[in-house]
Amino acid sequence: MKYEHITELIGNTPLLKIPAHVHGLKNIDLYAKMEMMNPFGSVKDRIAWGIIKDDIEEIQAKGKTIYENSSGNTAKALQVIANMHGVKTRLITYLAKVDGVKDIVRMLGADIEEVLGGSECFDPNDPNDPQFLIAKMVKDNPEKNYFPSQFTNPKNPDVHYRTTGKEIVDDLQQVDFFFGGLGTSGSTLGAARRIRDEGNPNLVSVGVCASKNDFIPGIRSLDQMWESGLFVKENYNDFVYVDSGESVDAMMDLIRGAGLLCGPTSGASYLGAVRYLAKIDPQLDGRKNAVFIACDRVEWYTDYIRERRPQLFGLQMKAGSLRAFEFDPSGSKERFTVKVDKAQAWIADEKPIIIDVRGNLAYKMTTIPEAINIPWELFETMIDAADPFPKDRPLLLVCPVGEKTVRYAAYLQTRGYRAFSLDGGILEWRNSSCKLVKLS
Amino acid sequence: MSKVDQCLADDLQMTVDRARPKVEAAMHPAVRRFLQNEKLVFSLVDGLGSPLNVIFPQHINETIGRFEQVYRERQLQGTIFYTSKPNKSLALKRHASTTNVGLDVSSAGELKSALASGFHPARIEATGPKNIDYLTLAIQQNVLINVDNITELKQIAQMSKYSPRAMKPRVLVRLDGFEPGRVKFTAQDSAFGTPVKDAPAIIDFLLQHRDTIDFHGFSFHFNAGDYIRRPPAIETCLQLTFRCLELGLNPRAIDIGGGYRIRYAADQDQWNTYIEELKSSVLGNRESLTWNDSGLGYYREDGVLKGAPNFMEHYHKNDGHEDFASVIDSPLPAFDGYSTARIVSDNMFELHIEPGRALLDQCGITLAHVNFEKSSILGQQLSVLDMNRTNLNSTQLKLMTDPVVIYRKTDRAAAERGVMYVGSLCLTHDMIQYHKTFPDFVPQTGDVVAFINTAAYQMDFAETHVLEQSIAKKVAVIEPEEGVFRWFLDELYNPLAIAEGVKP
Repeated sequence: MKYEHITELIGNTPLLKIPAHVHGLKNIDLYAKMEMMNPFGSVKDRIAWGIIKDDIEEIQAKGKTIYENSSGNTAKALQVIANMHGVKTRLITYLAKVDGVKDIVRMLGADIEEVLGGSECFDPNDPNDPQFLIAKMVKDNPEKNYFPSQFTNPKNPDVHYRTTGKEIVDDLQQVDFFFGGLGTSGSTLGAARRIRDEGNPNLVSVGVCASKNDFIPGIRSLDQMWESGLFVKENYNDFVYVDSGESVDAMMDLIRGAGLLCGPTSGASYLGAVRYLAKIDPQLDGRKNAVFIACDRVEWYTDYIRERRPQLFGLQMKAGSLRAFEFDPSGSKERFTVKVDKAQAWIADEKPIIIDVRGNLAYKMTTIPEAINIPWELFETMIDAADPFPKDRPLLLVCPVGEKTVRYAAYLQTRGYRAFSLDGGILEWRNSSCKLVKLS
Repeated sequence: MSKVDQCLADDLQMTVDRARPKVEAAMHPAVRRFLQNEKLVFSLVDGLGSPLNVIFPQHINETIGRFEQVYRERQLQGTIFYTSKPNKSLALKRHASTTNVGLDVSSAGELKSALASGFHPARIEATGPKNIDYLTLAIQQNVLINVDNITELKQIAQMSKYSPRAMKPRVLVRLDGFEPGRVKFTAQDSAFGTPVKDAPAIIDFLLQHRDTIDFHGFSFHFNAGDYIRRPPAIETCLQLTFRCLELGLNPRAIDIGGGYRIRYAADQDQWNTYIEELKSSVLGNRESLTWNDSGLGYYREDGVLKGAPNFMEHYHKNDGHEDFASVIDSPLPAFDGYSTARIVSDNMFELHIEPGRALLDQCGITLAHVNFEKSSILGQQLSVLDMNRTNLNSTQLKLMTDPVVIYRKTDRAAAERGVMYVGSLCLTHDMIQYHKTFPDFVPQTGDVVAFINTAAYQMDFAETHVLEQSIAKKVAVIEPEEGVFRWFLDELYNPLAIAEGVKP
């Protein structure tokens, strides 16, 4: 297939049937609307282009700057389109929580301004609220500034009515259940309205929300939805709440079970769908069709996923390693320590290697004479990787108060090292007026 | 209820009655047991007058302990300062004096009360704007002075000769106006502290006066919830601290202030539901939940909800000490990504904090008699209490949790409508709460209404003798064994006398 322009690739995404053994539903076929296959990577490609395509010539001609309240998928799509048309953008958002997406948007050349909210919720009266800031800037200079305003622009659901909803009806004819994450609410409103108008007036449309105080990219809590200018509660038959950790688990089911390399927001919609349908499924006597939106891809979200499910990244502790070593700090520590009042004589006699495991900055400011510096992260890695010290010379380990190093000493003794911790650490050393040196 | 259980909205509606939304208060088990002891509650309010503030001094052991645990886990040195400002109770201060905390005072009166409550001057920090009497006493007692501005610093240098036994005045210097680092925000103005850009002048002055002033370090304070602004501020303070060390000063502490929150609501779903219903009511989808349909900051414009709440968030996933931990654990770009905790501990600095509100979590409740019930002119069910709005008032927070009603009679009428609590000032409306709550029964004359968790900034922060009405008395209540309570007038609570068996 030949295309003239990348924007022609937006939309007409496939509908993929999720294998029944993955979701476990008996009487319902569950389909993913593969919005992740849009050219810039997400469902937001549709609205970014859909909202500005009629105006792009004027934006170009007048040299306007495009402003938007996003540093996520909408920002990404807008930035690509703006680049191609030689138009400048300015993206103003609350502090972005997914650095992976934001980094890509920056790389594309965006000017992102992150603002801190004065209040904890979306607050149109807060002078720091992005929506408010942008509206003000655009109002101040409408000839030079353009604001697509995805949260309030009726073109957002209209685009989904004309494209996403139509495509689903064309592909599937009968749609009984529709699931989408609630963000701007554009996709769920537009697509569901089209399905009702053309296919099934009895469509059950379910909005998937984040639990309040939790964070799923592009999804808000039901409470926050009231402030989206587009949200119409009556258009939904029901709402499902999901948690971000569980959404990552559901995403992994799709990735590993269905080969669908989608992101956590898709996982949330899928989880919402399966949870909701599992209650209905056993009571059905005929087959039903359900669709959820797989809105973007997994690659941007590795840091987000690591925060919630670190075990997916193989961070289990190796048995016998220092990191796995359990030490009871309430037991006797005498075998593993050298007391400060005896330390100077002991150092003179034994000539230990003195290792200060604090950070390099602190080491340079002040340390014990003759000490070398191996910050503890590095120290732990070295110890778990190999045998980095001679076993015939004692080691004197030093940290701020001697708690970290007493555990190190106890562990190293199990490996045959003559390792000891300075009791009370460098703080006790300083408080006893022992000699300290400053390196510079 | 865990999040896993709450996933389906229709399940939610089985546990949450959207027509009569409740916001039950998070309540310490001992507070719950105390309120179940109805005879005691009635006799206290009947005998000591309405309103009555009940203080649970022992509960600060728990709140302090949670912050201490964060220190211990990171091997941090330094002082947790209990703060006088949010509550005038002597019992709380006396009880705090038996723990390891310091005490943060913000006026000459509070300093005197701190000394009288058993705090040695070495444990006291004097903050806030200072008049000459406050500054004089602070210098004479050699308490740690958190200096607000260069004029004050010059005054201290001038007056250092009045320090006892040739001790140098001990000072922290409070900064604000930090560069936001990689995060941009529209600056919020503050009357507190010295702009960071003036720090070089402060450091010059401290160097010139190092024989007369003992400089401990830099400090700052942000309001509750401003967590994201803190790491850049800490970073700047630490950079200035190292600069001072290079120049030959001896700073050894950093004070990162307080501003840690309390979780007032017991249940996240209840709180979310109430706010959803409030917003829904402002949009006209249900009957109003607020006095005069004020919307508590929300309003409807072109069919869309606008505005911002003028109450605080009542439910947070994290407790104050967890937010504190995440602040000091977040990486500092200027220090190779090491955390505040790491830099402070490695360099053997002291970390001072002043978590005023968070330490008072679950330390007090406010009780009031019901005078009578009536309908407002427009038909709203009112419960008129024997108290006024200054008895439960703060500059920032409207208390949105449902008070607990302790009914005196067993034959009582089910409350069909929501109730609003009104005070007894001779005004067209003296609202105690501006929102509607849904008790099971209509509170009647003589019943007692208990507002929960009012110790921080609520019960006596803005209390006055308006219309010559009384200021609430305080009683300190302890629970020597489960379900058995003893009470003392606040000023007669002496934890040492109790421990020593003099008042067993």
